[in-house]
Amino acid sequence: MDHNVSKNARLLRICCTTVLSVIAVFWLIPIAWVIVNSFKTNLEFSTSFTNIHSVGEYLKAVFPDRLNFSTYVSLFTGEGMSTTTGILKMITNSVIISVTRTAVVVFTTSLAAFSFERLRFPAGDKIFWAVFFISLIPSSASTLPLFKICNAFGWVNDINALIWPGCVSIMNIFLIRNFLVGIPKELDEAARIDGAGSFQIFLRIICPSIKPVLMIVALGAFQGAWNDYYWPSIVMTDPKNQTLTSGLAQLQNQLGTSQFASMLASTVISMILPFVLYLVCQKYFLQGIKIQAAVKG
Amino acid sequence: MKKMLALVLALVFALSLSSVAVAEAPITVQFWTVFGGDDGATMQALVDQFNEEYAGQIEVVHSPLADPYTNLSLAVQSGTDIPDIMIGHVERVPKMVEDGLLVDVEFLTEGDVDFANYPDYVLERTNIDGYQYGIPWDFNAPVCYVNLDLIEKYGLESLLEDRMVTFDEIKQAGEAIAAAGESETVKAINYYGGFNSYVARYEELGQVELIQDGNLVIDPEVWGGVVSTFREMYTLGYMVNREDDASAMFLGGNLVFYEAGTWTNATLMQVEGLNYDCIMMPVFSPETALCRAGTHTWMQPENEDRTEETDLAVATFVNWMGAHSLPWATEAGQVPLYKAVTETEEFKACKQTFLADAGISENIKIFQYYYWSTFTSAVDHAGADAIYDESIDVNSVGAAIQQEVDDAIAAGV
Amino acid sequence: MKRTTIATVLLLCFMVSFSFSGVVAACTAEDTTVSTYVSHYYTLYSLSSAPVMLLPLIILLALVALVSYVQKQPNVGFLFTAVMVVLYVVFLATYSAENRNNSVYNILNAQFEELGVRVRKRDFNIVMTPNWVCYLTAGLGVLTAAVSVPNFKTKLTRYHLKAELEPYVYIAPQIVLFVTFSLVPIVYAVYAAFTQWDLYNDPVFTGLNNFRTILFDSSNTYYGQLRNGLWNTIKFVIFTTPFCIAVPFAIAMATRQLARGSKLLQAVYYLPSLMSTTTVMLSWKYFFNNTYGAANNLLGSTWNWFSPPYSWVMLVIVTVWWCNGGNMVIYQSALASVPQDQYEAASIDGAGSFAKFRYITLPNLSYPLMYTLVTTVIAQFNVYGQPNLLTGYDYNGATAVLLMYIRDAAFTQQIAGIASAMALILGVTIMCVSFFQIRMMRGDSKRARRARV
Repeated sequence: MDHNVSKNARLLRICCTTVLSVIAVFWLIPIAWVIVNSFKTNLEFSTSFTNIHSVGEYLKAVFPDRLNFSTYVSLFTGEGMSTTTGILKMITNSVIISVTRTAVVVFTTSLAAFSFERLRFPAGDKIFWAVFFISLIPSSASTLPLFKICNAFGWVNDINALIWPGCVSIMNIFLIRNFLVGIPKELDEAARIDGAGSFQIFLRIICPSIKPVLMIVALGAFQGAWNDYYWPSIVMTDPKNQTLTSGLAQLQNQLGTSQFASMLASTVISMILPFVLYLVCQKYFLQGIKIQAAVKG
Repeated sequence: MKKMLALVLALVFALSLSSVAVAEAPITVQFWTVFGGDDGATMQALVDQFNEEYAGQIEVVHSPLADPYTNLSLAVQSGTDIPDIMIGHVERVPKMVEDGLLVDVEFLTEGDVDFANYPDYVLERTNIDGYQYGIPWDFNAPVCYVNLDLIEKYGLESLLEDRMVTFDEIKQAGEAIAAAGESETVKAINYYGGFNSYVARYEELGQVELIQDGNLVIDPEVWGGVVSTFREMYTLGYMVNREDDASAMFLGGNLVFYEAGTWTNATLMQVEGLNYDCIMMPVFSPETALCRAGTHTWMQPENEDRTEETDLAVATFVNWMGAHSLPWATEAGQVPLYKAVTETEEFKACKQTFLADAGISENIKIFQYYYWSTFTSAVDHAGADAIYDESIDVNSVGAAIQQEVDDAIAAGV
Repeated sequence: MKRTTIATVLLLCFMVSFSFSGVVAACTAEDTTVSTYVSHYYTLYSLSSAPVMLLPLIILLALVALVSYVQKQPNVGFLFTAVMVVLYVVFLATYSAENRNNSVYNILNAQFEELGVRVRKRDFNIVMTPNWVCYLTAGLGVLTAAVSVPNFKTKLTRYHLKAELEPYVYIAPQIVLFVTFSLVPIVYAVYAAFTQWDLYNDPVFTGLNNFRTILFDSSNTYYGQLRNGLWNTIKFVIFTTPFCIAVPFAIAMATRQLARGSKLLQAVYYLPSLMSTTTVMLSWKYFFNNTYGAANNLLGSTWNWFSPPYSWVMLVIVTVWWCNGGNMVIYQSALASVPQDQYEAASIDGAGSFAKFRYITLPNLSYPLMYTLVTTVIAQFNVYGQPNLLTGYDYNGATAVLLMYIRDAAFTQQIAGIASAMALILGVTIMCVSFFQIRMMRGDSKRARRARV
C-alpha cells in the first residue's frame, strides 16, 4: 500500500515537472525575443526582419549576427541619449522610492489589518468597507488635485511626491485581513492573559505567522513602485529626478523602428532588480503560514 | 522593525534634503522640448555644445517630455518649476494663449533674437492679435520617400520629373509591378494614417477649406473622396496590407513610395545600400498640389517671477540654437528654419530640405485650429476601417469626425 | 452622556456657522480698489490652491465626529473634533497668507477690466481677511472639543480610553494617507462629473447635463463611446477572469508537486508579472506582428491577430500571461498553509484525491479565492494598457474599453466633466459587482466555518 502511494506520488511529480517545463518554454518566448533582440544594434534590428519567407529564415533573423553590447553601453554612458542624466541616477531614484514605499506599506497595512480584524471596535467594519468601496472609483480627474496637494507640501519635482501618495494600499489591507482569519484568536487571548499589549501581540505573534503574506505584500508594493511611470512623468520634469521605468518610457517615446534595440535593452535592464527580489522572496511563498505560539513574558 | 522604519525614513529625508539646489553663479535656463529618441539626442548634443561655450555664464537644463502641455499647465497653476523656454507644436499656441499660459516674445528682441532671421509666413502663424508668441524652429512634415532602385527596375523615371507624384502616377507604378507579376511582395504605396493623410488632400480634392472662420467644416463627400482613393489603391493590390509593416518593407526594398515623417530620415540615412530620395506627399494634381506641414516653435511660458537677466539669457540661447541648427537637418533629418542655415550648401544638399524652398511655399499649408487636438483625436477614433472594409460607407467617416468634434465642443472642451 | 448632547448641538452650530464664513479679498492698483467676498462654499469647489483642499477634509471630519457623538462615543468624537479644529486654523492661516490665489485673481481681474484698469499679473497683490464669522466658527469648534474632552483623572478611565482609542491609532497611518492622497482627488473627480471642466480653469457646475448626454442622447458620440466601452469592458472581464483564476491555481497546485530544487522553473512563471506595461505590450505587439513576430512566422499562419475575433484571443493570452504571477503566489502560500493532518486523516478514512481536493483544499482556500476573485475582477474592469497599446480603436472600436475613452476625454480632449461622468458610471458598476461578490462569498464561508466547528 505504501509502495503504491509513493510510486503514484513519484509519477505525479514527474508528470508535473514535464508539463510545467514544456509550458515554461512557451511562456518565455516573448521575453526571450526581447532579450535576444536587445543584443543587436539599432540598425541591425530595423533591417533584419525584411524579406522573410520561411521559419528557418525567421529564426536566423531573430538571432543577432554577433553579440553586441552597444545598446547597453550607450544606456550607461548616455551617448546618443536625449538627456545627460545617466541611467545610474535613475536606478538609484527608483530603488530609494521602491524600498521606502515597500517598508511603509508592509508595516502600515499589516498594522491596520490587525486593528480591523482583531481589535474589534464598533466603527471598524464600517470604516473599512466605506474606504474600500470609495477606493474603487477610477478617477481620471485625480491628477490635478493630487498635483496641487503635492505642491502644497512643496513636493513638485521632489521624490517625496513619488513615495507618500503611493503608500496608500487598501487592497493589501483586504488581503492581510483575509489571511488573518485563519489564525486562531486563542493565541491572542492567551497572550493577553500573560499581560501582552496589542502592539506586542501584533509584533510577536501575528507578524511572524503571516510572513508569507507580508512577503507577497512587499513584492507587490515594490513592483508597483518600480513600474509606475505615469505619475512620475507628471510630477517630475527634472531629468535628474526621474525613476527608471518612467525615464525609459519617455526615452522610448518618439519611436518608429529607429532605436528599437536600445528600447529592448532598457526593458531588460528594468527587469533585473525586481527579478532578483523575487528570487530572494521565493522560499517564503512556498512556506505557508506557520502559527506562532505565544511568547511568554 | 520600528528601528528599521525609522532608519529608512531618516535616509529618505536626508536624501530629499540633499536635492535642494545650491544657488550658483551661472544663470539657469529650464528648457523643455517635445523631442525624444534620436531627435532628442541631437537636441541634447546641441545643448551640450552651448553649455560648453557659455560655461560659467549660462547653463541650460534640457528636459525632453512626452507631454509637456499637461506638465506646463500644472506648473503654471502651481507656480513652481515653470520652464523658461519651450519648443512645442504650433497648433497648440492659440489655446495656450487664450488660457494665459504664454507670454509674448517681444522682450526677447531686446536680447539677441531678431525676427528677420526667420521666414515671415511662418512667423505669422504665431502672431495673435498683433502680439508675437512664437519663434519658428523647424518644419516637420509628412513626406514621401522613394526607392530609386525600384523606380529604375520598373522603368518609372518619368514619374519623378517634377519632384511630385500624383495618385494616378502611383497607380501606374502599381500596374507596372503587377505586369512584372510581383504585386504580392512589392507594393507601390503605404497608408500613413492619421490627420496627415487627410487634411491637405481634403482641401485639394474639394477645393474647399477645412477650417472656415475658426470652425471645422467637413464636407462628408469630399472626405469620402479621399477615403475612396485609398480604398481603390488597396483593392487594386497596390497598397501595403493592413497587417504588414511598411517601414520594414521599405527598408527591405519592397516598397516604392513610402509615406512617413521627415524625422524618419535619420534612420534611413544610416542604412547601407538604400538608394532613396525624398519628395512631397502624393497629391491629386501638380496644379492644385497641397501638402501639410507643422512647425515646431519656440514659446515662452508666463512666469511673473522670471528676471530680466534670465530673459536675456534665453534670447542668447534661442538665437545661438537657430544659428547652429544645421545638425538638425544633417543628423536629425528635419528642416530648421533659421535663414542663415537654410542658405548653406550642406542644408540644400539634404534630401528633405526641399520643403524650405521659397518656390514650394505656396504648396505648403500650416493648419491651425483652436481645437486641433480634439480634431486629431476624432480622426484617430474614426480609424482606417473604411479603407479595408468595403461594406463601410466612405461618406460616413467625415460625418463621424465632424460629429465627434461638435460634441466635444458642446461638452465644453 | 449629557456631554454628547451638548457636543452634538455645538457641532451643529459649528457647521451652520461654517456656511456663513468666508474671506474678503481686496486688491488695490492705480488708486482703484476692488474687493469680493469669497464664501467657504465657493472656495470648496474652486480647487484654486492647496489650502482649499483642507475644506472637504474639515467637512468630512465634522460629519464623522457628529456620527460619533450621536452614537454616544464622545472620546472618538473628541479625537475627530480636535483634528478638525486644528485643520481649520491651519486653513485660515495659510489661505489668508496667499496673495495671488488663482480663482480670486480671476474674479478681481474681471472687476478691474470692467472698470477699464489693466493690471499686469505680476503687480497683483491680493489681501485676504477672514470675516468675523470665521472666528466664531473656530471658537465653536474649540468649544465642542473642550466639552467632549475625555476624563484623564483615574487610571481606570485612562486605561479604558487607551483601549477605546488604540485601534484608531493603528489604522491612522493608512487612513491618513488615504484621506490625504486618495480621498480628496476622488471627491473632486466625483464632483467633476457634474460640471464642465477643462482641467485648467475652474469647474462650472452644470448639474446632470453630462449624464443626460451620455445616457440618453443617442446621436451623441459620447453616448456611443459609453455603450461600446462599457460593453467591451464587461466582455473583457468575462473572458479573462476565469482564466486568470484557473491558470494560476493550476500552476500553483502543479508546482507543489515539484522537487525542492526547482526554483528557477517556478520563477519563469512569475517573471511576466515583473514587467511594466510598456514592456509587456512591446513584447507581445511584436510577437503577434506579421513581419517581426514569432506567432505567425513560427506557426506559418497568416491570421491577423489584431482583428476581431483573434484580437480577443490575443488580449486574453497576454492578460493571463501577465497577471499569472500575482495570483499564483497567493495560491502557493495558501496551499502551503493547509494543515497536513487534515489530508492524513482523510487518507485514513479512505478518501480519494478528488474528494480530498473538494472537501479539504477548496474550503481552506475560500478566503484567498474570494480575495483573488474580487481583486481580479476589479483589476480587469480597470484595464487600460492591453487594449490601448495592442489593438487601439481599430475595427470600429471592437476592443476599445471604457477606460480608454475616459482617459482620452480627460487628457487629450480636456473635457473632464464627461470623462468623470463616464468614470463614475464605471465606478458604480465595479462597486455593485464587488459588493455582490463579497456578500455572496462572505456568506458562504461563514456558513462553512460554522459547519466545520
